Amino acid sequence: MNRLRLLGIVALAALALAGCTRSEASVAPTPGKAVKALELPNLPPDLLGLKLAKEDVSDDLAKVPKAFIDGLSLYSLRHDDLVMATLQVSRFNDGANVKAQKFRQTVVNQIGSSAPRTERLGADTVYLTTGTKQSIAVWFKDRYLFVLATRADYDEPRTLLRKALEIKP
Amino acid sequence: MRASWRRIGLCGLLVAATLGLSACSGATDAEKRLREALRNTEKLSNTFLYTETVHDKAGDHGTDVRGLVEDDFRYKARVAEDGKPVLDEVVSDDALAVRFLDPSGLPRFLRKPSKTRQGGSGVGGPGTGGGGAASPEPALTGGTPGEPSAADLLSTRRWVLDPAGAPSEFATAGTDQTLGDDPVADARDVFAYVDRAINEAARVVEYNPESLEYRKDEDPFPTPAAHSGVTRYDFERPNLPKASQTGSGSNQVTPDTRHFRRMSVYVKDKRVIKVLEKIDVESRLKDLAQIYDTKFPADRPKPELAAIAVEALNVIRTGQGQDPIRMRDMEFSLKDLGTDVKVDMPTDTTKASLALLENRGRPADAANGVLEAAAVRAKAGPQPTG
Repeated sequence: MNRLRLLGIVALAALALAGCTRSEASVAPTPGKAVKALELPNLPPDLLGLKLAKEDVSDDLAKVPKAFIDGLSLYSLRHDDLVMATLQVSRFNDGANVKAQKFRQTVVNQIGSSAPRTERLGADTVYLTTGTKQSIAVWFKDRYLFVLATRADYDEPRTLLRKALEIKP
Repeated sequence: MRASWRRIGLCGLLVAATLGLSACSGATDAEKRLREALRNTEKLSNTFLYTETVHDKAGDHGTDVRGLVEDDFRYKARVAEDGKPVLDEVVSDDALAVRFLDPSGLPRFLRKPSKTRQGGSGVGGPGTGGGGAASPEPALTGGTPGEPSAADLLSTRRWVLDPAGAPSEFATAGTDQTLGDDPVADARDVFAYVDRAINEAARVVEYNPESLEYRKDEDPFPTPAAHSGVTRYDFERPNLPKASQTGSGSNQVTPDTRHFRRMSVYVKDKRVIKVLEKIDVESRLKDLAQIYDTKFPADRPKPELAAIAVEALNVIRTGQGQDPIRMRDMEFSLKDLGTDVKVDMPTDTTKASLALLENRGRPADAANGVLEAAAVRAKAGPQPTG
């Protein structure tokens, strides 16, 4: 579970801080306690053979004073019992200027520990960065933010990312 | 009289202010347009041809990379050296397939001993290396008794498939990849290279033969055809550093690639269609002689003198831990931008680890790759240096 929290927590922190770019936001940020669990009806039972399971992050969310999301879910992707990756899906609230490149870049810049690289996969733009022994991919879909954190020693991070990009919120 | 002095003083002030402003190095409009074109183009599928001719004391050596790019994780490339096809490489997400059309070209691509930590597949790059304990698939050793190793397969011109061996990334601030080490990576990295060249240039300007600064006799690149809709952006190189100049440490500042670079980028419909670069030392031999208070023999041809000068500079540069200057002509052409380009993996492959090749293979296989590469080198005998 510690490992899982480590994989997921990077994006939670970023979402809390993302608000700093929205000084002109017309809608107030959402308190962490008010962020709801997202339901994704189109989610497959597994990705590339890794079983998807929803994780409870309500305790971590409650500690965030304000965020620019109103819904969030964290999924673990496991091979047997070992967490190989996590997928975090967040929905920005109405105050977030999601379409603005500056806003997106600010969000992305706060995830991971290295300067993000922009890559093109099919029609999608994905931002790649790294964390402690993990590869992190970030992308936006409508009002949703996806963060896929993969163990550095997982063999198929790109194929997994390609599969994850197919998920529609 | 007093009014006259005041006027002179005012003029002096204006001149000083103008000189002060001229030192400001904000991005020109041309630079902004060029960067926008780069961003527009790098998103698009394409077919490309990358040609590099390196000039050194031994003569000229040509390397071509031609290929197609479906997206950043799917591409194929063929490398030719001096016109002779050497290597085919196909990358599709994590999978990497390689064959050597000319196995004698293998040593250039072998993993170097100092890079055991740098593996292949991984979306993030070198900071992500780790053990292989979590891998759901067993490691491909390529050296299992009874099965041919990757080196054996590659030496017989066969395709080798490493399902998790795709190169991790291309040259960025976080890698220690040197230009010329891996021509496929160099070809795939051209946009980032041009970005760095913009940062290193004194100025980026739109080609204008009427400009006061333009000198036709120093322009090595073709003029865009009239009414072609092609705009050419030229990079102005900075002046050479003085011999007495020192950097942040006590090291002498040695001339860098930027001081010799001539680069032009051709843009059409807000997309880059061609990049030309010439690392032109010949035209700065006179400056080098003055700065370093030396004389080049007058009876030797200029290309030879340039090669000698670069060799001398590179001794200092490598001693200071800097990349050597690569005296080269480079051309990168793009076609079929944004078209439906598809990359298919070859079907007649044999699975093995490709960690014996530089920047390829799983990170967990890198240590084995070094050993396998050393064995191939030993079998091949002494290789020419450089």
